[in-house]
Amino acid sequence: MTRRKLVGAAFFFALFGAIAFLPPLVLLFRFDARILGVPIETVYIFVLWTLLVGGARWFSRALPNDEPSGTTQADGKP
Amino acid sequence: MTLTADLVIATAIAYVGLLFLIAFLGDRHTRDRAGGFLRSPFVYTLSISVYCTSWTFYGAVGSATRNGLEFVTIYLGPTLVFIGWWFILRRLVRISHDQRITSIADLLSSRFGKSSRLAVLVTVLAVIAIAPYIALQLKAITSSIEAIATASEFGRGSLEGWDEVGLALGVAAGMAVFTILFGTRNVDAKEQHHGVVAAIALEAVVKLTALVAVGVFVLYIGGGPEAIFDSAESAGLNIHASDTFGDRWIASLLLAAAAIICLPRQFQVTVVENSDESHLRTASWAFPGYMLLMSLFILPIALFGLTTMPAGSNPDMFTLTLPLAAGQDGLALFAFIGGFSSATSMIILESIALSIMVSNHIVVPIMLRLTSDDGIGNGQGVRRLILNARRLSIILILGLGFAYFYLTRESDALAPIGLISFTGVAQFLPAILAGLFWRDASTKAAIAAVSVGFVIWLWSSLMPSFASSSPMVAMIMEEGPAGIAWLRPQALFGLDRLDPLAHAVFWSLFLNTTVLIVGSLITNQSALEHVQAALFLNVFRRAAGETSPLRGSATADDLFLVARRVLGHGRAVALFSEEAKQARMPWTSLEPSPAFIHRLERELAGSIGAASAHVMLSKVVSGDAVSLEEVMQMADETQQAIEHSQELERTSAELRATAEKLEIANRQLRKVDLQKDEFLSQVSHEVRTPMTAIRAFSEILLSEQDLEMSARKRFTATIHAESLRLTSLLDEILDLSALERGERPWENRPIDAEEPLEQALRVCDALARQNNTLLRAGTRAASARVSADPDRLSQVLINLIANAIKYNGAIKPEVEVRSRLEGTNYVIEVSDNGAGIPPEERPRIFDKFYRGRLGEAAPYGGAGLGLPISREIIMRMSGRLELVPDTHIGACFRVTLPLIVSEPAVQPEKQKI
Repeated sequence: MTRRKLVGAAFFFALFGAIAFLPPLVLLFRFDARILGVPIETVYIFVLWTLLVGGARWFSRALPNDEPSGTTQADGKP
Repeated sequence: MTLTADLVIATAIAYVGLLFLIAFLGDRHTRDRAGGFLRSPFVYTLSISVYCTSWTFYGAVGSATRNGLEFVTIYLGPTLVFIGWWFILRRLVRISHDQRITSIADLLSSRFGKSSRLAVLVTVLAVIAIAPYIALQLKAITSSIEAIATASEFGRGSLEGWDEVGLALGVAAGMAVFTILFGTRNVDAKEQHHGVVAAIALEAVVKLTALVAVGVFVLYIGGGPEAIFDSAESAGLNIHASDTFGDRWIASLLLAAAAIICLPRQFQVTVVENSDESHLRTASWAFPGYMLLMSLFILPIALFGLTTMPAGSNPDMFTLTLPLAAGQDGLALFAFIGGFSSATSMIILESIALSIMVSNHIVVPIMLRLTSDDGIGNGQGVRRLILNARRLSIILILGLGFAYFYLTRESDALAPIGLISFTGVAQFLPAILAGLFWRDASTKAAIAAVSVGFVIWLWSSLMPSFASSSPMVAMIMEEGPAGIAWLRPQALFGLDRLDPLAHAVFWSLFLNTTVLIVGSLITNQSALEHVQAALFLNVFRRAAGETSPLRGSATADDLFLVARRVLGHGRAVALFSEEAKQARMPWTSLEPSPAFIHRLERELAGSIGAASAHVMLSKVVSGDAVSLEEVMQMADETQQAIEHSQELERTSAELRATAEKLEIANRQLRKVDLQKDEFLSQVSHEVRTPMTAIRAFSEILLSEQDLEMSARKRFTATIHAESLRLTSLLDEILDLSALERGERPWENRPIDAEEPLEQALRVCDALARQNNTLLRAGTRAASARVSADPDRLSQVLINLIANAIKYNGAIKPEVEVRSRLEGTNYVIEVSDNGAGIPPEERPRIFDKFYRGRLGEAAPYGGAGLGLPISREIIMRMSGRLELVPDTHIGACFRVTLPLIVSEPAVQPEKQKI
């Protein structure tokens, strides 16, 4: 994947994350079902959350490195 | 139960001591070994989790008991922002490193033309907006101590006689002392506090472990999630999210996303304390993971608490009271320390962040203005001033928090208080996003937008929280101010269908954004705003180090900006790079030396003059009261002056050209004037000769009475002849002058040119006989249509023929007149067999008053105007009159007239000559 596509993918990953947490998508899971006793919407939210964390971990390694700004000093001392 | 209030207070104090030790060691560690473990991305991530305060530790459980799943939005918002770190946070961190940003107020001020007004506004808003949040922490600590004291079998111990308010005051005072000791030991130009960050990271671990421990414990005694949810359902609780995903859900998700960017302490840890941009990569997934872990056990704790705890117990304290109720004192103490950790870390960092803003943007500018230069001349004075300002700010901030706690002590839920603060700080979000992504966002618009959002927040979010303690506020909420219903704080403009939180979020952010957009469209940016906007927008676009303003002292930044403005980008960069090379340090860490400033001044002087360069640089270097913006303006004005003088130069060049044209015109006028003088003298001369004769003869006639009749008659004839000559001369002069000045109406019309020729021949016939001249008719054209005045043409021809007859001089004089059609022209030639015109006279033959030698000699010679007049007339008919060169015998004059090409429809051409 090119750098540009990767950045685009990262953007839509975050955007779809937002959409998935919002109505109307989230309303799809508001029915009376329980997984291991936990209501389905709660499971949905936490599973999605976990997937987002996993995806973010992947993106954090895949996204390209920036050019150093040239002003960030290694020792960080003024 | 052995846990007492005294014990937990002692533990809390000991814990604070531990934190202090860690902060101290952390500072020494980073000083000695340039970071190491404390600079790892995980410490960075843990410090960001200062976001999870006692609101999370205690309040989330309370929130879950009231609104079910809604509490997760507070963590989902930041999760989304961190997942999208590439687009906002990465920019913020890079910009803040480049521009040496120290706070969120500094960020906005820097982007919007270094506006100090905006910085002050943001600082004031932040301090007010955070007060409820601080109050929340005070309330949580107080409640947790109270919970332990109430449950303790040893009573309140040394807390006897302290009510909740007193306890909160004590906590606030303790926190103030603690924060002052912690955060204001030194002033760092980058505003980084490594020791504090280390302590915060430890607290993050403590609170997470404590909450997870309580969660695991609850799952254990509750028999697993299934059992907990089952018993909650059988206890009549609604475990499904019924109305959860409504307007409140969206509003609090948005607020939380805004808060993770806009909260002063989050900006401090995420952006300002960031020592390596790549740490953000790790935090992008690790911080959402941390929040996920924090949230995982909230619902079970809340449901278990609701089913097992006696009715009426405070759900905000379940995290603490559940272990207490189960007799787990050790776990309860751990839970207390966890809650205490989350509260102290928030209070410490928030007050440090706010105190930096208050001291940098409000106190220091005021003090600098009030004190004389001498007092702050040395670095120590400034240092002490800043530290004292920070200490005062911390006391002020905690005081405000306590005041809010005191005023709202009746309401008991934690989470709603936090959301008020979130709504307040979210008012910065539109300006921040516009600053990052919209070049045209202007300072005036940003100030107006933040102000509008702030006012709406005050009215519809902050004020309603006082309803429980103030009857007046309660009345305003019920009926609106002075009975104006559409101004009711929770139903602005009649919008009463939304949840109060969603209502406040919608109106404040909507109007805030609208004002920002419209305001930016109708206002203009100053020069400095332009520069700063470009720096913010292009933060990743340029090659490394190329346009980045200099690090080192703030003066280097400013010097570069000034140099670039005056010298242009390329030369400024070249100048600074060269200096960096000589100084053998990366030019990004350049400290401008006096020699360099001197050289820079010389360079600037080349562009704007020495005086301006000196004034400008000395103002930048000395950090005078003159702001950079004013210097920029000076540079602009100088530029304008240069342009103005260039314009003057252009104008004077035009003037010179005009003067040259005038000079030429003047020379021509002089020449014409000279010609006129010459003409006048010739005329006088011509007139004088006949006049002299007339005068002489008339005097003789008057004086000599006895003159013979014959003589008298002769003299009279002479006078008559001379006056005739005079009259004709004057006629000719008048005629010529009229022709030349175009005074006479002139009418060319289509005629047959042969007719005037015929007439001229007839007229001259008598003259020819008189002079014994043979007037020979040569070949003739049948007819010729030309556009001419027949009388005038006839006059010219008569003049030519008469001249040929009069000045012939041959023994057998002959004059021949011919005419023919030649191409598109009609040609008439008048030739004679006389002496002709000598070559030296030929060029002058058409001059006024010029008479050939024969003319001079002739008894009644003309005035020498016949030929000039004839030539003028023929020219008026678009023809030519010329002397035919190279005639062997006599002279030959030729008249050429153009024939009319297209036929008779041609209208008489009226021409004013």
